[in-house]
Amino acid sequence: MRKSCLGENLTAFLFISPFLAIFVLFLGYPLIYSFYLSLNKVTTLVDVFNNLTFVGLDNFKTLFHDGLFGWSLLMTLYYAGLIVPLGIASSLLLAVLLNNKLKFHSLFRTAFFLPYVLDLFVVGIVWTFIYSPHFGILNRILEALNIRYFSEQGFLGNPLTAMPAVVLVNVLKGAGFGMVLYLAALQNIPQSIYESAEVDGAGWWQKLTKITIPLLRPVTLFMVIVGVVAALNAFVEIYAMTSGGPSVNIGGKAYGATWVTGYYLFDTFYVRLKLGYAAAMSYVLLAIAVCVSLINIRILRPKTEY
Amino acid sequence: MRYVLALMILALILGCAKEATREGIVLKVWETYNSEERPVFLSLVEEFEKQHPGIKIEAVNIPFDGLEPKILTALATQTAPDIARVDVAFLPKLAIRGALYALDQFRVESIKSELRPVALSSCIVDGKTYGIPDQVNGLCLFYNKELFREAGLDPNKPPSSWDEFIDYAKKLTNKEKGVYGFGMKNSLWWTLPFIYSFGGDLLTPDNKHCALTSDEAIAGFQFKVDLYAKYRVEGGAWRSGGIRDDMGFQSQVYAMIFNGPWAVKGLERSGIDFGVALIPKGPKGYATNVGGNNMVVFSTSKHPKEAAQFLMFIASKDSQAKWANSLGQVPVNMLADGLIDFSRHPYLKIFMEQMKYAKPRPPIASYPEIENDVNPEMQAALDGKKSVREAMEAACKKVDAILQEEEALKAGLKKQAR
Amino acid sequence: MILLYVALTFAAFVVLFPFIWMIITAFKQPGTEFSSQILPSKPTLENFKRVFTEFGFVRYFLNSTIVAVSSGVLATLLASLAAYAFTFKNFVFKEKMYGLIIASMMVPGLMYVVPQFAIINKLGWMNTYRAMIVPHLANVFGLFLLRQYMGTIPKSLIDAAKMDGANDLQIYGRIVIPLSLPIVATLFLLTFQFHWSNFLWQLIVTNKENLYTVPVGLAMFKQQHEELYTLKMAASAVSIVPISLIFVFAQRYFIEGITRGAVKE
Repeated sequence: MRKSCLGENLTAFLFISPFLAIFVLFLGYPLIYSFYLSLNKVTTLVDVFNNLTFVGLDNFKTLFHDGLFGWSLLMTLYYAGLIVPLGIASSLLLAVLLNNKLKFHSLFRTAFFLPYVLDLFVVGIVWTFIYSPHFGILNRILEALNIRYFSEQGFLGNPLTAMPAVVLVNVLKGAGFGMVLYLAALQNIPQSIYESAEVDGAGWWQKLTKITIPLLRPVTLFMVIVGVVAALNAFVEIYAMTSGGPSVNIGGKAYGATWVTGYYLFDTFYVRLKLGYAAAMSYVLLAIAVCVSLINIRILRPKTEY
Repeated sequence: MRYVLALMILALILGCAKEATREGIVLKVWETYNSEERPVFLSLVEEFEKQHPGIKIEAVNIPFDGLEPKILTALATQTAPDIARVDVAFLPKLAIRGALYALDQFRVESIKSELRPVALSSCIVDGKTYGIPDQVNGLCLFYNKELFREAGLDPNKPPSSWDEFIDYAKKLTNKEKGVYGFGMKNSLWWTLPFIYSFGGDLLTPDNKHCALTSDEAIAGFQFKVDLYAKYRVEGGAWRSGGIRDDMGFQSQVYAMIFNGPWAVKGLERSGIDFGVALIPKGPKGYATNVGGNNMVVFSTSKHPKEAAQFLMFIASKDSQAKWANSLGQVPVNMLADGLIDFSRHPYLKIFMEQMKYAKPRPPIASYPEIENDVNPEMQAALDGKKSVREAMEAACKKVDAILQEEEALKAGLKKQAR
Repeated sequence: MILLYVALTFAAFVVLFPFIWMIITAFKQPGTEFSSQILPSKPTLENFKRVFTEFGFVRYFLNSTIVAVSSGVLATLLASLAAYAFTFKNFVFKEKMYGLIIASMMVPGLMYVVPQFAIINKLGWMNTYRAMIVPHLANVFGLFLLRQYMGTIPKSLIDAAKMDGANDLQIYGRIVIPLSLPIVATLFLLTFQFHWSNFLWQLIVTNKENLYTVPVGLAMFKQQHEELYTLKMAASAVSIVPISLIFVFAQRYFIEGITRGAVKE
């Protein structure tokens, strides 16, 4: 037995070694390095690696008292809480609809996939127009219905609607990505399962909730975790549409209603040049992401092996 | 599959682009010139190489959005070029963190007296010269002549004072037609002309504290807020998600905006009948802010002396005259003023006139941080969530904290240097 | 049923709004991109012409194709090999290693740039295609996705093959990959797209304009104060052609999984 165990290990490592080699060099090392960076303060810019000032856990302590960071985490949770379920729901809906024998399905698929490959700035500009106060299409429609709530601020300028508005744009842009993943996964569900369910008299709703969705769980887990990671990294979508605004006044301080951590991180890194502080922030984000992922893995663990 | 492999092999071969070995000195330059400026720059490079046979210039055009991250990454590994063209706000950040050569040791003294003081001042940090200005600009008032005529205003008589400005803007605003008298940005830099023209400033004269809570600064910002909130002549361009000022000017929904020399070419092509004027006078006269770009030499350069020579060449009288005449931009060298053919660039005179009233940039390294922290406060005031005074007080707290942090950073760096 | 078609068409129209705007703008005269007229008053091909003559997009496309295709193929290959081992093999530290690998994607990408660049620099890979390709070959998302998917392949199939004396490479090549083809093809598509739009990294590792890629070229249209929208939209429109074509032609293949019946019991 021992010999075959060794053989098993050996072949396994042969299979993962190319991946692992690249991983260790280009991801593992930077990972460790940025953790070390989080314990340091960067002062000079030239030859950063040899000019660090060790400060221990100071960065983390400062982070703990940083009101803006706390706010940004809240906004990130809000953002993730909206975009992850909506993104998954819309992708799943599209995949299920466009998987069957609907006419023109490949045309529709292409249509829904296209926004995914578009530049976020292009998408951002167009949606800014749609959302804008006074002139925006959406506002004009609402004004025709005598709703004037959005006339002055538009959708991105109103703290209540800014985040949902950004989320909607991203959901529409990203639905094609999820759709493709779900479509691919749908191919792996044997037709026979549906057929036997039909024999038992199951309708489309039962088939969807009892067969399709449970069997897509692995991909859903992937979508949740990737969605959370994307939300923690969100930068371009915010930069392209709101720059972190509009302002909310809390306790005499103005905070941005879309000021998510990814945006704050970019600001800290490239504008404020606090590389150590940004690294500490990243590690807090990592901790949060790991926790969220573990919870999700628990929830979405497949209940039946087949 | 075979094609893919071939492609990959091709990649590996093509990838090994060889470094050409040349005689003499090669100066690498990272620049962000646009497609109109680039040919003019390259012709200046050619001239420089002709005059200095031992020196070659290797210029790489970098997209503006990627320049700062690229510079920071390169500095971290000591692979920065010799020279880069950077935004005026970025220079002091690099300077205080030891990334730049102080050029005073390379006899730049001779050219300094020729340069426009507002431009030069953006290169000076703690008394040392860390760059040579290569472009300087400030905001002016752009107005739509067609909309002026429609409102019964004389298109050749732009408003000259804030009172007149309000009067004009009211006449221009026609909400039925979706036209607003003015469109403005919410950002500190774009607010400075208001604050300056009321006699206010961002920092106290010693540059140690925030001065936005002074009565003058508050009056200036209050005026800006009133344009939107009280007089109702501004179209909400400052909002996140609003129609941006420059876009709205092009689609003729804002009759007046602030903008700079860079906008002229695009507007000329758009076919809009527009004029450029000084930003209207406030209680303390005309005023504007300063922006632009400076050329710097990185402290990792092996040929700082030659690099400084190149910088001085670009800022020289002849180069700047050529620059101004080809592109319609304000020359950084004042001696070039006399060599400009204004008939080719009708707006240049106004731009140069406006620069006379430009107030030098605050000589601090944390200006971009200040922008980012102050903007939300100003937005809250514009949105009526706070009074102007409350907003400025909250902003000043943030600014003072940033200034303190900068002091601490500088002190730490000094200790490290010793 | 008709309602469904109407809803889908409407939704498609909404999500394609930016796309439509991009195409319209690409045909507009520069400086009129935001004029009150929605359609171009004098449509022009000038923007497309300038993109390829003045702005060197021919070379950028070549570079991007080399980078995106080789990255797509290699990253998918590496991820599928690793995913095979993580799904079907037992070995020491398996789950610990996997957890660590997955966790690495939860650190914001920003943090990787400087250390990765330092390695590239040490290796002397500045200004090479390698520098753009190799650091992203360990595609953690891809590994995760493939393992999630391969986990749904019935173990019985693998065991049966083992009984028949197939070795791991054969099982990988003849059973697992064909069965995972839809997701493998999808991963290639996504990796391709990632490299086709990876602006910052591709800019940072090149100091030569002839090595610039499409995303770097597109960024050139955003200048310090103004953006050349008509040119940018023309270039963007052309830049999404390859991926759209791949999608249109490959979807039948990888979504409708022609390999089905063959291996399924």
